[in-house]
Amino acid sequence: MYRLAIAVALIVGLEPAPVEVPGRINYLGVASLDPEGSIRTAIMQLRDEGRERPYALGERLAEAGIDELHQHLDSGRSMREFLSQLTEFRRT
Amino acid sequence: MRGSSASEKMLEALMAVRADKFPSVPEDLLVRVFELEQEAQYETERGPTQAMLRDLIVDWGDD
Amino acid sequence: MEDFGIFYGSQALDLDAGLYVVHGENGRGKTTIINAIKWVFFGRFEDRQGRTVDPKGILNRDAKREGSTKFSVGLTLTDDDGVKTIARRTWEASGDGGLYVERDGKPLNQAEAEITLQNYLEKNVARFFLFDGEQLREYEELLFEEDEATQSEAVRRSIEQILGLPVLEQAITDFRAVDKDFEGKITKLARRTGKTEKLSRMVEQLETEVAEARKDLKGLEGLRDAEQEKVDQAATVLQENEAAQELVNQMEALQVQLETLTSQREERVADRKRELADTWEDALAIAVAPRREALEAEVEAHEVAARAAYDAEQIERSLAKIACDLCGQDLGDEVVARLRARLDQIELGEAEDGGHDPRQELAALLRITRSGAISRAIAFDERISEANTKRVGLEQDMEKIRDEIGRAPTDDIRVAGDQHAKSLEQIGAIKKQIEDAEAAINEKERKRRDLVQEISSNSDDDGEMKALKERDKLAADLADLFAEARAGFRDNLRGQVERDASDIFLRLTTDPNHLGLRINTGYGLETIGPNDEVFPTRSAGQEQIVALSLIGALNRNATRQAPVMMDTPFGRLDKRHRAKVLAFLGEMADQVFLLVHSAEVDEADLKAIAPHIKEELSLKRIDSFRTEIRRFEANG
Repeated sequence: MYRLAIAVALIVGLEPAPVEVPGRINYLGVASLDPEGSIRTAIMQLRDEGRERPYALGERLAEAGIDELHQHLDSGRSMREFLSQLTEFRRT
Repeated sequence: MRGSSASEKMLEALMAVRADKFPSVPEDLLVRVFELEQEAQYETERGPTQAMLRDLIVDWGDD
Repeated sequence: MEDFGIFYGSQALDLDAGLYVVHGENGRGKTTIINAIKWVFFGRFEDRQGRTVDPKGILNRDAKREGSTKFSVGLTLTDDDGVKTIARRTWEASGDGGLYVERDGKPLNQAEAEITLQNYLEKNVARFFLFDGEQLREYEELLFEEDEATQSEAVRRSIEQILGLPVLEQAITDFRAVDKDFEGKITKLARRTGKTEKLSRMVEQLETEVAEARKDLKGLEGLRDAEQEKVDQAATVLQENEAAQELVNQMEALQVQLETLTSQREERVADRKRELADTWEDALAIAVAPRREALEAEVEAHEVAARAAYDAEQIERSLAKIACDLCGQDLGDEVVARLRARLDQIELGEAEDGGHDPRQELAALLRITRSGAISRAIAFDERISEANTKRVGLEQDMEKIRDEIGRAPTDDIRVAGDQHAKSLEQIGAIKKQIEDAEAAINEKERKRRDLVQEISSNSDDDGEMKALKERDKLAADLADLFAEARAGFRDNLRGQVERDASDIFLRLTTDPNHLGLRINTGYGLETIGPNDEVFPTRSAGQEQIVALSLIGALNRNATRQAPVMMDTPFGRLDKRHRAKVLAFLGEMADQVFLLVHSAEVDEADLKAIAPHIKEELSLKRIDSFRTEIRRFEANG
């Protein structure tokens, strides 16, 4: 879910959550979470402004991604719709 | 007893078999044992009937 | 009848020879009258579901309210010789009730009483004289069985009993016993002489063994009959509830579908979960796609620029030398002009150097690929939704069926089905054991006879021995004679029953394609049409007519005649069939007793046979728990 949330944030172009939000998400070991470094690569190429470590940014992006998913589900729509929309997403 | 026609048919059948295959069996004995069997048809205890048949056969032998 | 069922107090029916018609609406006691007769003969009777009725419930309710604790039914039977048999069976709440039978004025003891009644109407035979038109199932088992192996033994035996065959069978048994008796005497006599002592002893040994074996055989036969009764009872329940059984089957099929669906759904849920765990990779690939495309464009542009730069370099070198850089040939003015123009073009399109190497970045991004997990997760999710919808549909169907089954005793049906199958299996096994036992007994008998033969030929023929041998032969001959007569007689009789049944059937049926009935060795009846074809199915009404034909034929050929009582015999017949059956019923027996309700038979129907009717009675409603037997009045 965490990794998906990061990807969602990247796809949609979400603003990362502010640093001060008490993290619901636990930062897991990088080795298990991102063994090929693909998340790090994606964050660095898409959003990195050199101001913070990619994984720290990743945490905040994940937070934003989860919010986005929750908003979607709360409005009564399904996970399936959410995933579908992801595949069709094209940032203008 | 209305059953006479059925009984008659039975006796006829018996007589026919006698004539054909068992000529040594006396006709009148056959008639008598058949009558006996009819009277005893609902007895569950066959002992008494068999005793009577035995006696009949012995008597006929003595003739 | 005294306080029996719906008949309060003491009510009697005084019947002579002839045709009686008793009118009564449903619930007024028509079936009760037949049950009263069954009560006297058998001490019990069954309800429509085949279950024995508890005597407590038979006592008339008004009588019970007044404090009465007993009921009884008395029957007076007069045979052709004018001998009167009076029987009364009483039930007492305290358990003191019992059977009283008097024949020709002399009271009989309990054993004699029961036997006398059995002589008059044995349980298996009752169905041919106390005919319940509503309970066709009893006849269906009789009439539908083409397979002799499954045909109820009891039914076949009861028909043969009506036809008088047991007389011959018993004669055979008796003579064989007498034969053995004489052989025993021969053996004993032979022992005295000492020559054949050993043989005699062997004979006696065999006789003991055979006696034992016969006891065991009887036991087996008892077991078989007990299982057969279970089969018959179960078959009754099943046939009564055929429609419910069908619904139960449907329900079970749906249950299986539901279980399959549920397990498939669970598998899809597991699949979806698995794919969901990998969707992040897919999503990540989607996220980086625009950037990747941009980088690919950059890389492409770089390469185009690099190629252009290279070309420019080549051209400049050539222009400087005014000779082709490759082949060394002198360039002409025309060529020079073209090359110059080309150089201008290239120089116009030079790419910028962004300052970073897009190829390295692109290589990193290319490692992030679509795995298809999202599409698959979506697909599984769709399948799960479908399964959910289907499940709801199945559950709705099952609910509908559950309602339809309603109060049908599905547990009873299931139990009956299991019992039926189980008992049939048991019967098969027991039959095999019986066969083996009989074979073993026959073998021993054969040996015994051989030994007796040996004794006989080895013994001196003095007067006594000679006489014994003659008697023995006579007994044996008589046994064989009856055996042979029986076989032929039975076939003839069956043929006669077939002819009579066919004859009656043609009088009752209205279908011109019906040409007759055919009987099989189990006394099952088939309807025959043109070209000797058998009709595979019969409607309920046709079944009733075939049943009536068989009953009529049996009555005609029976050794003893009995009154025939029919409860709602016209229930399933249409008007034309009704008219034909009514016209025939009067001749079915010396005494015919019809119990009908007004919807079955109307005045017009009865008018047609009025001259044959001895008396008409009606069952008059006094209140909910009381009926009185009255003379019939047209407007009553």
